[in-house]
Amino acid sequence: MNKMKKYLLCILGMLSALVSITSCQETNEIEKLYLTRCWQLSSVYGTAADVNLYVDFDEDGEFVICQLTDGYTYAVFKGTYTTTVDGDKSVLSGVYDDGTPWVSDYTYVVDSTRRELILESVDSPSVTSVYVPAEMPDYTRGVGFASANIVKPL
Amino acid sequence: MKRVFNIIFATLLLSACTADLEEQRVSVANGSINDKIVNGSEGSVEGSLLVRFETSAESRLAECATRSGATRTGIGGVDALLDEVGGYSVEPVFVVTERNREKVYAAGLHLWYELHFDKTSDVDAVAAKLAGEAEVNRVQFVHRVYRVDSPKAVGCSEVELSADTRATNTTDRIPFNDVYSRYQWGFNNLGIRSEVKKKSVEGQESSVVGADINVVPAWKLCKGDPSIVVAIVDEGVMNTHEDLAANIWVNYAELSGKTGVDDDGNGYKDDIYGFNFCHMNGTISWDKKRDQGHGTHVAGIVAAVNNNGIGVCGIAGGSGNSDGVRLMSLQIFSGSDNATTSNVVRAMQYAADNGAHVLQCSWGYLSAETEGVSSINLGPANDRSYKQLCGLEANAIDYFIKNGGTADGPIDGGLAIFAAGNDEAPLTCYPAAYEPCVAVAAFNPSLRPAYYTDYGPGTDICAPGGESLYDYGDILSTVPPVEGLVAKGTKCYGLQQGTSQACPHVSGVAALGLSYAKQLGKRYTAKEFRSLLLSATNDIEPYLTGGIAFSDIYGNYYSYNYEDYKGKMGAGYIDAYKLLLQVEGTPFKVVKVGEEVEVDLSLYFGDGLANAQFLRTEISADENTDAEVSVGEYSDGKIKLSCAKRGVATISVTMLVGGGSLSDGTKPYPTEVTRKFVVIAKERASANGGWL
Repeated sequence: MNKMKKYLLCILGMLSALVSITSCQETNEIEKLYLTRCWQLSSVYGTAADVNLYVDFDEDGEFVICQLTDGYTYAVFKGTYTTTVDGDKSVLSGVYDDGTPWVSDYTYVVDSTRRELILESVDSPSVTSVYVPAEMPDYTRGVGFASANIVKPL
Repeated sequence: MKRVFNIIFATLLLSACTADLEEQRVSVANGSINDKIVNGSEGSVEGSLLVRFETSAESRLAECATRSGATRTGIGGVDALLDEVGGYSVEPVFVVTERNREKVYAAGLHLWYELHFDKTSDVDAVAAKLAGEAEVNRVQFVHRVYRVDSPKAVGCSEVELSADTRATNTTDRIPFNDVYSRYQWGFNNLGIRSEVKKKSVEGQESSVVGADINVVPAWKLCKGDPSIVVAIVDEGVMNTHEDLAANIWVNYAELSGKTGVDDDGNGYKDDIYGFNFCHMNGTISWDKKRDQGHGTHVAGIVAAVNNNGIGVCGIAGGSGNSDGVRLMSLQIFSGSDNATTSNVVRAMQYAADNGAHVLQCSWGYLSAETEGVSSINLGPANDRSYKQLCGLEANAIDYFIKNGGTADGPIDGGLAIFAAGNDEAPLTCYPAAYEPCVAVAAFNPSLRPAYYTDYGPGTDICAPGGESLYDYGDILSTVPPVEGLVAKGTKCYGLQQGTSQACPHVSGVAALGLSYAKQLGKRYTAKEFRSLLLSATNDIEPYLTGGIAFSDIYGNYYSYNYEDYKGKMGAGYIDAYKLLLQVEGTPFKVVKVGEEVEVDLSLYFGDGLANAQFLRTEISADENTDAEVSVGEYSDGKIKLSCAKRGVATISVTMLVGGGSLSDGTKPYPTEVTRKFVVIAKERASANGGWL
C-alpha cells in the first residue's frame, strides 16, 4: 500500500512538474509574442524621458536599438536576444553584433494589451525602464546632423 | 517745432525711410520736445495722427471703440481739440472682436487710436496739443510704406527657361517633376547651374556644391502641411498663379458668405485670400502698374506647388496632393499705393488673429550704417530707438509672436521673419534687427555673402538670396504677368535677387519644420522653435576669404572683401534637414556615474557655433531621480560634465548669435538660442554606447 502510495505521489509530482513547465513555457511564449514589436522608451528610473530611443524585437530573436544622440544622428545597434524563464519571471538577454553583451540581463513584463513593456535590471532591481509601442524611424535615411550638408571649402 | 525726423517704412529692402532718428533721439533725451511725440511729421499723412492713451482712459474709450463711425473719444480735452480741428473720425488701430478681445487688451493694443481731422490743420500743432493731455501716452505721426528701388537691384526678368539648352541635369536629386526646379540652386546646388559671369567681375568664385538650404533630404521626412499658414506681408500674392493656386490660404466662411459682410466675424469683410491693407478691402491685386511681382515671387519660394509637372518647387509646397503649407496674402503695397503705418500693423494683427504661424516680411528701413545716405533717411540703430520711434510696429510684432498660430498647432505663438536689408551695411536694418524677429542675410551661389546684403549686429542667419553676377545666380520663383516683367504669352516665372529672397527661404524652412512638428504631434513655444531654427545651420566662415570687384553700367567701381564679413553672418546658413532632425526629438547621452565626459556643443548648435557667444548652462531634473550633474566651464565650443549618481537630467545651453551684447544697447541685441539635451546617468554603461 505504501509502495502504491509512493508511486502515485511520484506520478502526481511528475504530472504537476510537467504542467508547471508547460505553463511556464506557454507564459514565456506569450510574453515573447507580446514582446516582439518596436518600443520607445517613455521613462527611466521613474522619470518621463522625452528622448528618441527605440528598441525593436523581432520574432527571429534579433533586435535593433535606435537612439537619437549627439548631433541629432541616430546611433543604431543590432544583435540577438533570448528569452528565458527564471521562476515566475521572464528574462531577456542579448548580445550586440560586435560581441558585446548587454550591460545586464533584464526581467520583462508586457501587459496583455501590449501597451507597455517594463524592463528591470537583474543586477540592479530598482533600475527600471518603461517603453510604449512606437514605429521605428527610418534610421537609414541620412547621415545625420553633424555632416548633413556635404560642403567643403574650395 | 517741425521735426525733421520722419520714419517711413521702406520696402522690399530696396527701400528707404526719411527720418532723422539721431536728431530725434537727442531731442527726446534732452527733453527739449514733448517726449510723448515719438516721431516726426515730415512726409506724414495729413489730417491723421496715432495716439496711445493711458490705461486710465480705458473706460471712456470703450464706447467709441464699439461704435462704428465714432468721431469723439469721450476724453474732454481731446474731444475739444477735435472740435477745434474738424475731427471727423476716431477709430481703434487694432480690430477688437469677441475672439481676440482678451489678447488685444493683454497687449495694450486697445489703447491705440487713429484720429482723423481736417487736412488743412497744422498736424504738428495738433500733435503738440494732444501730447499736452494727461491721458495721452504717446503721439505718432502716420506715414506710408514707400518703395524706393535700389540702384543696384536686379528686377525680376522674364526668362524663357525651356529654351535653355542646358536643361537636362541627370544628377539632379530633387524628387519632384517641376520642370524648372533644376534652376533652383538655393534648394539644391550642384555647382553646375549657376556659372560665373566672368566679364568685368574680378575674383569671383565658382558655384559651390551644397551652397543651398539642404531641403532635398528634408523632403523625405516632410513636404508641408496645409494646417501651417505663412502670411506674406508684401505686394499681393497672385492667387490664380498656376503654381501657387493650390496652396493659397482660403477663408471659406468669406468665400461662401455674402459680399460686403463680415461673415466670419473677424472684423474684416470679404477677406477670402487675405486682405488688401493698402486699400482696406478684400481684393488682392498683383498686376497694377509699378507692381514688381515681389509678393508672388516671395510666396513661390515658400510654397510653390511641388510635383505638379510645371514651374518651380516650393520649400514647403507639399507633394502635389494639396498638402503644402498655405499662403495668406496681406497686401501692403499695390502699384503706386502704399499702406500707412496703422494699416501695416493691422496686417500683423490680422496674421495673428487668423491663424498664421509665420510672418514673412521682405521689407524694412534703411540700415542705420548705410553709406552715402543722409542721416535723415536712416532707420533705427538699436532696439531701444526702434521701440521708441516705431513703438506701434514693435507692439504689433510682439503681438504676432505671442498670439500667432493656432491652439492645436505645433507652435504657441508665431515666428516673425524679416529680410536683413540690401544696403551693403555692417548693421542689420529694422525691423529685422529687432530682437524677437529672425533677421536673414543673403549668400550667393559660391556661399559668399551677396554683395548687397546687410550683415553684422542683428543678423541671425543667412540663406540663398541670389546674385546677378552669376549666370542664373538669382533666385527663380513665380511672378505675376506684370507689364515689363513678363512678356505676354510667356511663362510666369522670373529671377530676382535680394535679402527679400533669402528671407522666404528661412520662412519656408520654418514652415516645413512646423509641418513636421505637426505631423509628429509636437508643440513648441515660439522662442523654442526660433532656437531650433537658428541652430539648424552650417558654418559659412570657411568661405569668407578673398573678395570681388566689378563696375556697374555707369562705370562706378565696387569692391567687397569677404574677410569683412567674418563673424557677422549670424549663426551660419540655414539647413532644412537639420531643422527636421531637431524637431524629431531631443538627443540624449548615456553617462557612467562618476566619469567626466566632454560635450561638443557644435553637435547641438550647428556648425556656426564659432560665431556665437556662450551665455549660460542650466540643469533641470526631477528631485527624486536627479543625476546631480556638474557642468564645468565652457571652453572652445565644449563643456565637460559628470554625474554624481544614477538619474536623469536635462541640460539647457544658451548661446548668443547676431553680434552685440545684452548689456550694450547701442547696437541691436543678439538673439538667445537655447538647445537642450538629456543626460541619463547609469552605474554601468555599455562599452559600445548601446542602450541595453
